Amino acid sequence: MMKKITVKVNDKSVVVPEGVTVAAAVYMAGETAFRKSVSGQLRSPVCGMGICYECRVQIDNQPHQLACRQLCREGMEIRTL
Amino acid sequence: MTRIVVVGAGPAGIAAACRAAESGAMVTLLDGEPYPGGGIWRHSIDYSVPRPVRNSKEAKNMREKTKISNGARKAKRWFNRLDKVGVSLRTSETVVDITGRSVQVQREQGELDSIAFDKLILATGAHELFLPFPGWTLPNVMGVGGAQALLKAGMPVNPASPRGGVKRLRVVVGGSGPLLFAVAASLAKAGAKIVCVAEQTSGMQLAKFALGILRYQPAKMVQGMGYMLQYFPAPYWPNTWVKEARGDSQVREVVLTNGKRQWIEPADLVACAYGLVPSVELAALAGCKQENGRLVVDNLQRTSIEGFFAAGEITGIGGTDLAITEGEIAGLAAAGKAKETADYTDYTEKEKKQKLKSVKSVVNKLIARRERQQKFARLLNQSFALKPHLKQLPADDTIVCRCEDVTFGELKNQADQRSAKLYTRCGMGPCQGRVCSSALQYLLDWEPNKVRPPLFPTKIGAFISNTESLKRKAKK
Amino acid sequence: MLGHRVTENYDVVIVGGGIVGAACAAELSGARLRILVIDAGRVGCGTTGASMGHIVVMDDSEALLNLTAFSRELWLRLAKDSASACEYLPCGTLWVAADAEEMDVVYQKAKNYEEHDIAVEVLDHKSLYQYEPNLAQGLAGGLRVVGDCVIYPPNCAALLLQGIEVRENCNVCQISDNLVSLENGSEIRAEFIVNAAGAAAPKLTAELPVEPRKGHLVITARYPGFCQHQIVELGYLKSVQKMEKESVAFNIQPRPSGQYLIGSSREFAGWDDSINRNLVNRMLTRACDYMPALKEMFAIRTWFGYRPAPMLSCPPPRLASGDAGAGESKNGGDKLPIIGNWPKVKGLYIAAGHEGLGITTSLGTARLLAAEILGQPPPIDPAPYRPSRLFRENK
Ligand SMILES: Cc1cc2nc3c(=O)[nH]c(=O)nc-3n(C[C@H](O)[C@H](O)[C@H](O)COP(=O)(O)OP(=O)(O)OC[C@H]3O[C@@H](n4cnc5c(N)ncnc54)[C@H](O)[C@@H]3O)c2cc1C
Ligand SMILES: Cc1cc2nc3c(=O)[nH]c(=O)nc-3n(C[C@H](O)[C@H](O)[C@H](O)COP(=O)(O)OP(=O)(O)OC[C@H]3O[C@@H](n4cnc5c(N)ncnc54)[C@H](O)[C@@H]3O)c2cc1C
Ligand code: FES
Repeated sequence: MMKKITVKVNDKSVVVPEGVTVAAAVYMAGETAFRKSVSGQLRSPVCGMGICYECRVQIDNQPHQLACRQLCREGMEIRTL
Repeated sequence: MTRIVVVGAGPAGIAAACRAAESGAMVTLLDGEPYPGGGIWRHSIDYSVPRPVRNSKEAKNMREKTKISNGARKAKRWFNRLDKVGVSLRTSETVVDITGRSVQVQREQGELDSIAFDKLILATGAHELFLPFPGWTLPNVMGVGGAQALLKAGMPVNPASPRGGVKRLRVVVGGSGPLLFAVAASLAKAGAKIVCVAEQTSGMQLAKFALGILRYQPAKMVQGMGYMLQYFPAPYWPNTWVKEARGDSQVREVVLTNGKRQWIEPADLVACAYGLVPSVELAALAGCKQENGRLVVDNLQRTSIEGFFAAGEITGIGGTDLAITEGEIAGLAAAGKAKETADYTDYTEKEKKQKLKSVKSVVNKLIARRERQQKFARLLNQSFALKPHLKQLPADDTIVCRCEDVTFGELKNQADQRSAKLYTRCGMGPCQGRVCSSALQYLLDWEPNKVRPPLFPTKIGAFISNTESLKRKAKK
Repeated sequence: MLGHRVTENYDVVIVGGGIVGAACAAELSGARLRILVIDAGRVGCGTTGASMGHIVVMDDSEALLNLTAFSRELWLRLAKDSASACEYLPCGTLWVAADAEEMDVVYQKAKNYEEHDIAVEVLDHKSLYQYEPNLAQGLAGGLRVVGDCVIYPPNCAALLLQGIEVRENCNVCQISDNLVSLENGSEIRAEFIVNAAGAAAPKLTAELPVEPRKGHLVITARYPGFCQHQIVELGYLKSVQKMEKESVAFNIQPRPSGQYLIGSSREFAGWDDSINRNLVNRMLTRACDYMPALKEMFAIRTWFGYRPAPMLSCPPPRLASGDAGAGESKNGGDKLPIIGNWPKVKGLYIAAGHEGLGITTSLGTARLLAAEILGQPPPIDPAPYRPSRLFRENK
């Protein structure tokens, strides 16, 4: 059995398998928009590999974190938009 | 002992690291991703450990706990080989700068560390070419490799529906290249409903490509057929491309066209990219010579800078097998095992002959293999060459620079990338033009801007901690 | 050379489409003259495109204060009409005093500014943190210069050049009596020639005492609201004055985008075109001493530009040849730009040597130069900036 961990996405608790990325957790929480662009458009990941910077979210109050490059940790607080 | 740093733990980097370490070098293998393997192998072996690995033993322990997927036999062989030779594997460590004979890496926590080397092997791979089309900035429009990577990292394609049950996402795969096949198959396997695959190249080119595969890499053909059967009966349309994506808070439908007519297909997710471009930023910062966006290397994978080698897609797009072969050659050469005749001057004639025979036979075999694989690479690039009409994809109000929201209309009258940057902010954002300048190189023939450190956004505190740690080291 | 020679005619040729050349062109454009601006690259993409765009009144000397204050007034006027094109941000300058000693400097400066009708506010410890809570603890206070502001230099250069004939990617290789020679072999005759080639100006005018003084900048990702002013440490003044090979001082500028530009470094390294990592690290360390929260911010790019710095010690140019003998230049220490007629070449005017203040002083420079060319009364006393101050009379 794969270990599960709990993270929060926009205050909502989500249980995810250990080893998945923050981006996956955001999708699992039912969100499709990760950030707002400088002119206010909704955006979501494009490259999945740390190139495009479209997957930026706030993690534990730190802005500009790449969701596709970080793995979920127990208790992580993730904020989109 | 020769200290070799390999940047990029994809197939090329892994092969290079193995060969170099087996030849007795002290090898450090770096990758910015949490898991090794590069775009293709990263999750083919299902790691289940929630933190970056610090050495290959840890990686091995992880893998033993999990099962190996079918398509990953080659990956498994190389990972096993990597375990055996004792390479220092460091993941979640992104190289952000290079000075003289050391690279600066940023860890996930935002610290910098300097790693000194005698020889450097650049295996930084490639990223996708995204061409802007109306609506491409909508949520759930992503790359082809991008969709693959996100899927492997845990993105659900059949999420639980709020009304109960599951909702299979309807996916349109578009763009160009053999990756479209593979990704459509894995998305289908994960539970998505593939609406169609829209490939820009013509049916004729595809047929030529299929024949070529039969000739150069019959095994690949089998793999391809496998994919076909897996997600059959999704339509695969050559000479077709995504003209527009439409939606509100996310994509809902796409407009497809074959140049003569256009039609609409529903889509909850669009995976669209037009092949790959070599990721040469680090090499450019180091000052290695490039040509047509690729790194220039010689017969032994040596770049224009003494002691710097390059292997894999960074030298041109050619697929996994070519990357591995190049990696092997680079690894041997960097470890001093692929010396040319001239390098054996201090040996007697007899010793020299013997040496050359044993070493050369390995290297020569690899070089011969590389030549064969390069033929396949050429076929690949010819078959999926982009049609000129794709230059018409963006409309005036289509955003090209996604970081700074600069539209095509603002850009098309600028003189070059540099004035575009200063006058429109195009390329000034955190991706530093990695997405838009590749597109603009294709759309407007612009040369990309100069690469400056840091290669990726870096915490200011990290620069400082690095200075302090260097000072401490100097004191000792 | 046997090449095909073309000779064109203009009333004014301005060599250099940086902020200084652009301002001169704009100022002269009202006078019904045929003007051509030539740039070796793209306009505004030299030092102008690499700089901070802080419009600041400096009181190092009476002459500098006059020029910067006059120029700031012109900037405020320009920005009033085209605020968005200039990316005008009326943020003021906040000079930070670290200790009691620097606080004394604050009082002196305040007095000096007030005597020249420049509005300032002296900040004690408490009010300093009210304005800028993210400053490090333990600072003594500061001086707020209310009317200073920030603009975006490349856009301003482009704005000033609107409607003016510009030739880009065109390298000037020589300036002689009423003649500009281009690298492509053609020549342009002009009654007035302005050398506004920035740090490269001495390549075209021998003996012009200007040299590149390299400066680095770092830009952050977006963190709106982190600071409100262009904040500069008072030690900056020392850094500018110091003639050592490398120096750094804390200087941060809020951009309208919510990003921050972090400076500053000064370095005599000729035209070296690599990032000096060591110096950048020192510069960032200094910045974090003053604003520790910067440590958590992402830097996204580093670059540099070459300030056109007046040389402080060089033999003065000579009006007539023959008289050998070295000596310190008369401008030894005045650190002012060089604006006006260059007596050794017919029709040549210089607008160069603005060092770290060229964005600010460009508009004032252009007024002075235009007044001289058009024979109008100067808006402020031009004598302190005239090239003639550099020359040793031959008696
Ligand atoms: C107020 C302000 C804000 C800014 N904000 C940002 C920001 O948010 N993000 C950001 O990324 N940048 C920002 N910039 C920086 C700006 O876009 C440029 O990057 C900077 O002005 C100079 O960059 P660079 O030296 O790296 O040159 P680049 O703009 O990268 O270009 C270098 C140029 O030099 C030329 N060149 C290179 N080698 C040679 C050679 N040997 N001979 C001749 N020419 C050569 C190249 O052709 C190229 O045109 C800002 C600038 C200003 C003034
Ligand atoms: C890091 C940094 C920060 C700064 N911050 C500020 C600030 O906040 N406020 C401020 O007031 N000032 C600042 N400055 C100073 C300011 O940028 C300069 O003083 C000013 O840009 C000089 O303008 P210029 O037009 O003389 O030079 P440039 O902008 O360099 O223009 C000269 C032009 O001449 C052209 N040229 C050169 N040679 C030839 C030739 N042979 N033929 C044709 N064309 C030629 C070049 O291509 C160039 O475009 C800063 C400078 C730096 C480096
Ligand atoms: S998805 Fe592109 S950087 Fe994360």
